[in-house]
Amino acid sequence: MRVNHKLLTKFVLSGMQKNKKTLVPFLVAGTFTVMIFYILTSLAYCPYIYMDGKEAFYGAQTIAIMLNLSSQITVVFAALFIFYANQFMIRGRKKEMALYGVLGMSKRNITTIMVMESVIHACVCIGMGLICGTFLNKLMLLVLYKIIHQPSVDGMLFSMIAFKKTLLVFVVIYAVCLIYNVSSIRVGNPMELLRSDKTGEKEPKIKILSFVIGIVTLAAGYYLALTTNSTFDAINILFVSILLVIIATYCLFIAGSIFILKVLKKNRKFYLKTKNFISVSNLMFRMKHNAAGLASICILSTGVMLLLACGSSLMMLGEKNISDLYPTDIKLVTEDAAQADETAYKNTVRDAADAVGTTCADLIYRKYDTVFAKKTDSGFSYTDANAMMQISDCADMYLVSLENYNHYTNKDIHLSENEVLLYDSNASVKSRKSLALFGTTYQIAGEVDYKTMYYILDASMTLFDRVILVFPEQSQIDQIMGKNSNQQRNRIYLGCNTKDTLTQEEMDKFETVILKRLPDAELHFKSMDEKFFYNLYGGAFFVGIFLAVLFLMATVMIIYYKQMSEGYEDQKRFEILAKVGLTEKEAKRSIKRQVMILFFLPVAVAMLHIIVASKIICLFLKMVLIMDMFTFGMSLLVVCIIFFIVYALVYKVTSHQYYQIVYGRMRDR
Amino acid sequence: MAILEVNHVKKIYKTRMGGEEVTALRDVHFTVEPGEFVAIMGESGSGKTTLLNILACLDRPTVGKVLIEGKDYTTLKDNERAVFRRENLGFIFQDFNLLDNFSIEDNIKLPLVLAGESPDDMDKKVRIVAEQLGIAELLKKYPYEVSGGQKQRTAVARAIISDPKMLFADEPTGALDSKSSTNLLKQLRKINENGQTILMVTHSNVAASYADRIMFIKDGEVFHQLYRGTMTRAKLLDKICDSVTVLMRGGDESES
Repeated sequence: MRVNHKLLTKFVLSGMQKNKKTLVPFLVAGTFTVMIFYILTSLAYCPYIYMDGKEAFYGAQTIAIMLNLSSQITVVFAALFIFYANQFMIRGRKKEMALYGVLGMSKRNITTIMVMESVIHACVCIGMGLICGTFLNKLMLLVLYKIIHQPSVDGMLFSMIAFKKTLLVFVVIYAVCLIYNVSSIRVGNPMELLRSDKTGEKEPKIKILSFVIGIVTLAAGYYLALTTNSTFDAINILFVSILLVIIATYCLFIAGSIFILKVLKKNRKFYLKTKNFISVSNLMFRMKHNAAGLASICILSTGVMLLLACGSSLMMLGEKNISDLYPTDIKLVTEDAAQADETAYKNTVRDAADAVGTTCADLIYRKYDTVFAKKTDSGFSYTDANAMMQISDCADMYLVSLENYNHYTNKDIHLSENEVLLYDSNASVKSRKSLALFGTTYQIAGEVDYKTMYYILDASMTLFDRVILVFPEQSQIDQIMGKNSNQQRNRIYLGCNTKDTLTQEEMDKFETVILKRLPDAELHFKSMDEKFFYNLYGGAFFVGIFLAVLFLMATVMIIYYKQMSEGYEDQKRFEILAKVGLTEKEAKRSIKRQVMILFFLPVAVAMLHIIVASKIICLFLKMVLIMDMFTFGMSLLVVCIIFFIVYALVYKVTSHQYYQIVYGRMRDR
Repeated sequence: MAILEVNHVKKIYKTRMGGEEVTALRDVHFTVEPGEFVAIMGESGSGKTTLLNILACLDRPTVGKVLIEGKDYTTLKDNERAVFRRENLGFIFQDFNLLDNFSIEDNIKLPLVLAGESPDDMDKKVRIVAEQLGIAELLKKYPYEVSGGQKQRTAVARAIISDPKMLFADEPTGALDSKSSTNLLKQLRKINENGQTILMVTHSNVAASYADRIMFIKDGEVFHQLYRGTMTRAKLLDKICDSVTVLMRGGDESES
């Protein structure tokens, strides 16, 4: 039979009208996802940040890389999310399609309808997403600039590359959805489809294999996360344990939940109570359908919370990191090639300062040797150049002679020949009394004054344990140095604070003067690197917030869909229960219980994941920056609370909606 | 004393906008004695569903009272009504209204669970009614795994397990084939003979012929009544058919 296209169009439109309640969220979520992807991509290719290898400001490339990375994450995520929402949509429409079939439409006609619908969906989402994205783009750029302390710029942006990419990615996603829909509709004859909603289903069985896999992977993931003690292990283990926990979450939500419910059902005293009787049975079937969705919610929530906590704690620690990296406004490290004395070096710096018309305050001079050593049980030994080294077994070691040390500290300490002063960043070995150093055992006579000596620590080496040793004689240091290849001799640290922040020109001039006299010097200006770090943290924070919003939206959406579909399923059920004599109060309680469990189970598990993960994540972040557990813990706590409040609000709204669906119709009578 | 007393019940529906009024029940007045098996017959639109909804506490009459053992339950609050209903009334519906996520056993147990009985008592009672209705073998199955007749017998079991004062049946054979229908009606008859008062709404002449008394409702009023007396079922069926014909003729006349 040929059906004319006008009629099909009418079917499409009326179908969309009828499914408004599920369609609108689908379109909104789609639009939102497109928009986020477009904004991230267009910012990544934005001339105000980084384009054609040209940075708009110092450090912009890092931000561009982060933006790019996050837009890729968005793609993966968008695909998963749109598939999910699509599946929900199509489930509700199967019956309608079957009805068209019964009314005499051929499968080709139905396919035509579906294609038309998909085209409309895609057009609306992509179109709206691009339009909103284009308008919000500028605003987002300004927000980003604000976060990274950049002065704002004028001009609109429209990125052709981002436009094309967005189009490509989402057309593909919607096309795959369409193919899935068409193929799922084609299966089965019309009568079967019509009935598909009515056929009852068996109580789910426990999937033993998933259950076992879930338990094992969870145990393994948690074990790895909890037993990791160093940043290096964290780097290797983090992704493995994340993967394990994700697998475990899915398996346990799918199989574990059923297992628990079955056990509860077996317990007749518990099961045969009004409130449990209804909830347990309902939950069992809920879980059969929704376990994967709940697991997704759980993982998304975990992701959102961790992302936000990482971002905000990095932001909070930014200041601290910079002051750690730069004890002074200007920092200069060089090798004492000229074998000059302290005054000569200090004068060099003073001269340079004079040249740019500023004065140097708190001029600090430190001389030291550094060696890269291997940790042993009783102390340190030389690194073996030929062997593969376990990086976590290494320490960055700074050696200072007692004479110099006494000079820097204005103290008069005496050490006998086999005594040293020690500072070790690794707190766990602080209780040591003696130390085996490169074959000789020394007694630890005391602690190095950290405040005086911390200037010499290389902040970029925070990954390693950092050790400062004060030896009685320079000759002992020379002896150690003589045998080690992994070393830097006669290092000089010079640092000072300037009266005013130097301008770019002044910095350049300063540098020229210094480099003329000390060609090997590494010169750092705090104010300049500060900017770079703001870019790094700010960029990460910005991207983090974006992804968090995306995840949160997805979570809310999934929950909404869940409650909707469950509400409609439950409507009939509670109607029957009301006929049998369930009071509205009991129904309300039972619904509340059921919705609560479905709602808060994923968050509860997410919070458990976070608690377990906090240590390893913190260690991981130490790779990027100096990080302290307390700040991270606090920001995690704050993020959790905020998330919980948002979630509870969503619960409030959704459960109300749910109750309306379930009980609203009965009320009308 | 009558177990059920329907006292000049009137039901008027108002449209949502408050415009037109529709009278579903004009003036229904009858009583049911303990142990009676009453059938209410009528065309669709005659008001019999409205009447049943009112009797079942699912709806309130606009005017009039419904008393069960002298207690007027139409004035109770919603929650109290629900409790009253599950303690005193049993229901059978045309579309069974079984919960598809409960096994047959749990479906039957439902009223007992709501009443908060002990698990052992439940098992005992379930066994008795399941035996009585011939569904003892099916207890572990789920509704979708059994036939329509078996589903309806499950529904009957659920309705009578709490030992209700009245059993309401709304078109109980409506979704069943003739063999299952006969089977079910015989079961109902048997239950009635054990002392259960039954009120059944139907438009099947055959189904009505199993009752002791048949009331015909038309345009919201009790139009005619038939008593079985000493008649056989076949004889009663003839009578019912005659009445139905008269009822239909009368309808024609009044319309013209």
